[in-house]
Amino acid sequence: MEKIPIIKMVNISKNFGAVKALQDVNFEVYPCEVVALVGDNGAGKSTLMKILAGVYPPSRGEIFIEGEKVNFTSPADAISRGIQMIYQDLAVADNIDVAGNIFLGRELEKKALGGFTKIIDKKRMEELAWEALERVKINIGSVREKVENLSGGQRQAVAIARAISAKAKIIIMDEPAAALGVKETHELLELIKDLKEKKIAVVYISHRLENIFEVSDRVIVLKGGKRIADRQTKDTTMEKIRQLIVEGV
Amino acid sequence: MENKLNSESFLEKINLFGLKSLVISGAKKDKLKNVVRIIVLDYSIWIILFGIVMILSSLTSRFLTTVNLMNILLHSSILGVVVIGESICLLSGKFDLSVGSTVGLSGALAAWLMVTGQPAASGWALHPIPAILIVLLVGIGIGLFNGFFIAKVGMNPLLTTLASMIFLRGMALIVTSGESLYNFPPSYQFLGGGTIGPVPTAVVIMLALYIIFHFILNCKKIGRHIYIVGGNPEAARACGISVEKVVMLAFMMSGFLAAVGGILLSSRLNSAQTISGSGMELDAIAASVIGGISLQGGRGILLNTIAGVLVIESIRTGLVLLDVPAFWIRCTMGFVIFLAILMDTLKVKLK
Ligand SMILES: Nc1ncnc2c1ncn2[C@@H]1O[C@H](COP(=O)(O)OP(=O)(O)OP(=O)(O)O)[C@@H](O)[C@H]1O
Ligand SMILES: [Mg+2]
Repeated sequence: MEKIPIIKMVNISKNFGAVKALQDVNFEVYPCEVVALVGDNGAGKSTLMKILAGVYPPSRGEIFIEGEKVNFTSPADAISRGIQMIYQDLAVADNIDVAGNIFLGRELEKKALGGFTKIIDKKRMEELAWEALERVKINIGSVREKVENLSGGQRQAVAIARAISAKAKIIIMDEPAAALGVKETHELLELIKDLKEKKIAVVYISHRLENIFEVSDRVIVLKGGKRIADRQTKDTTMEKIRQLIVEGV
Repeated sequence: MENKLNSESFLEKINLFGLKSLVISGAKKDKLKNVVRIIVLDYSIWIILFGIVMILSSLTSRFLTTVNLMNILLHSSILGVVVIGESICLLSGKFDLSVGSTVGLSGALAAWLMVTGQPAASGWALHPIPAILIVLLVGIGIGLFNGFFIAKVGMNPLLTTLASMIFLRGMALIVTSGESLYNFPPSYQFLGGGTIGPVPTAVVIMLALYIIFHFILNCKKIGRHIYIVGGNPEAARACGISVEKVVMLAFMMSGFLAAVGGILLSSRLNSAQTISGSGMELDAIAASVIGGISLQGGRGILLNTIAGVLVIESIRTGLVLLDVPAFWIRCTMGFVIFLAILMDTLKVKLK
C-alpha cells in the first residue's frame, strides 16, 4: 500500500497581493489514479493546478515528482517532467490552425534542403492531429482550420487533443467539459477511463458531481484556499460532497 | 481521415513554402470559391497596388517610365529590407521604433570605419567586409538590447524603442562628429548603387532577404513560435515556449535588417548623412500594416509587405511627379498610414 505518489504537493500557500488564494494545501496523486478536485468558485482549484503546471511559483511549499523535489520556473519545466494541463481559460492560439495548436510548442520537424536545415513537418503534424482528434471523438472539419473559426466545444477538444497527444505522466483537466455537449462530455469521460488504463494519471476539476462520481477514484475538496476533505469516491456520496463544498462539513 | 486530406491535395499543390497561411476551411467547401477567397482576402493588397499604379500612370505620363519604375524599386529595396524586420516585430506582438535610427547609425558607423581623408572618420580605412560585419553585429546588438528590456524586464515596447530611437540618432551624430562622410570604397558602393545584369544589386539583396525570412517565418520552428507568441503569449508560455527568447530574437532580426538597410542606403548615396533613415520607422510600420501585418500581432503574410512598400513608394514618387508640394505629400502619407491602421482595426472587429 505504501506506493510513492507521482505528485506530492506539501504545504502549498499562494498569495496574490492581499488575497490568500491557497493556505497550506497538501495534494497528492498516485499512479493511475483519477483525482477529482472540487470546490466553490474562487476556492483555489485552478491556482493549485497552475502551480503544479509551472505557471505560478508557490509563495511557500514544496513539490515532489516521484519522490524528487522540483522547482518549476516555467510551464516548460513542468511539461518536461510529464505534466500536461488543459486550462480553464483555454490556452489555444486563435491565429494558428488546428494541427498547429495540437503541436503548440513541440512542432515536429524534418530535414530539408538536403539536410542543410530542419523545417516544420506540417504533413506529419496534420496526420497525427487527426489521430488525436479521433480519440477525442469531436468532429472538426479540417485540421487546417484556424482555431478562431471553431466553436467553444471544438476549441476545447483541440486543447484536450493537445494534452493527450503529448507524452504525459499526468494530465490536469480544468473544467474540460465546460463547453462540451452531453455526447461530447460522455466521450471525454470514456477518454479519461482509457487514459487510466494506459497508466496516465488524471486530475479532473469540475463542478458537475455526477461526472466526478463516474470517473474519479478520489475526491479532494477545497474551500477558501484550504483543503477540507479527501475521500475515496466509492466511500462517499454526491450529497456528502455537495455539503462539504457548500457548508464545509 | 484519408478522405479529408485528399480533397485538400489540390490546394496543397499551391502550397509553396507554406504560402498558404491561406487557410482552407472545411473539406466540403467549393475549391474554386476557396481559391477566389484566398486571393481576394489574403492577396488583395496586390490588386490595390495595381490600381494605384494605374491611377498614377493615367495622371502623369512620367510615372510609367523605366527610369521612374527603377527609381521606385531602388527606394523600395532599402525600405523593404527594414520592413522585413519591422514586420517580424509586429508579428511577435511588439513594435520597433528604433529601426530608422539604426539605419542612420549603421551608415554612419560604416562610413566612420571605411572612409579615408576626412578628419571625422576613424582613419582606419577598414576593408568593407570586416566593416560590414561590425555594422551588422552592432545592429543585432541594438535588437538584443531592445528585446532584453522589453521581453525580460517587461518595459513598454513603444517607449523603449522610442528612447532607443533618440539615443541611436545621437550616437550617429557622435560617430560622425555631426558631419556627412562620403566616398566609400567601390566594392561597398556596389551593394546599394551597382547592378547585377539589369537589376540593381539592392533589389536582389532585398528579394533574397524576403525569401529567406519568408522561409524562416513559415517553415522554421522559430517562425511558427513568432506567430504563436504574437497570437497568444499566454498559450505560448503554457505550452513551454520561451516567450522572452522569441521576442528577443524578433528584435535581433529587426536590428540586423535595419543595419542591412543602413548599409544599402549609405552605399547608394555614397555618403552617410546624420539624418539618414529618420522617419523610416513610420514608413516601415505603415508598409507592414498596408501589407496586412496586423498591429495586434500574429497575423499577416510577410511577402505581402513588398506590396505595402511599393504602395508607399509609388504614392510618394507619384505625388512628386505630379508636382504636389512637399507639405501636402506629408499630409497624404499621414493619411495613408491612418487608413491602413483603420483597416487593420476594422478587420479585427469584423472577426
Ligand atoms: N492571477 C491572479 N491574480 C490575483 N488573484 C488571483 C489570480 N488568480 C486567482 N486569483 C484569486 O485566487 C482565488 C482562487 O482562484 P482560482 O481561480 O484558483 O479559483 P477556482 O477554484 O479555480 O474557481 P473557479 O471554480 O471559479 O474556476 C480567487 O480569489 C481569485 O480571485
Ligand atoms: Mg478555476
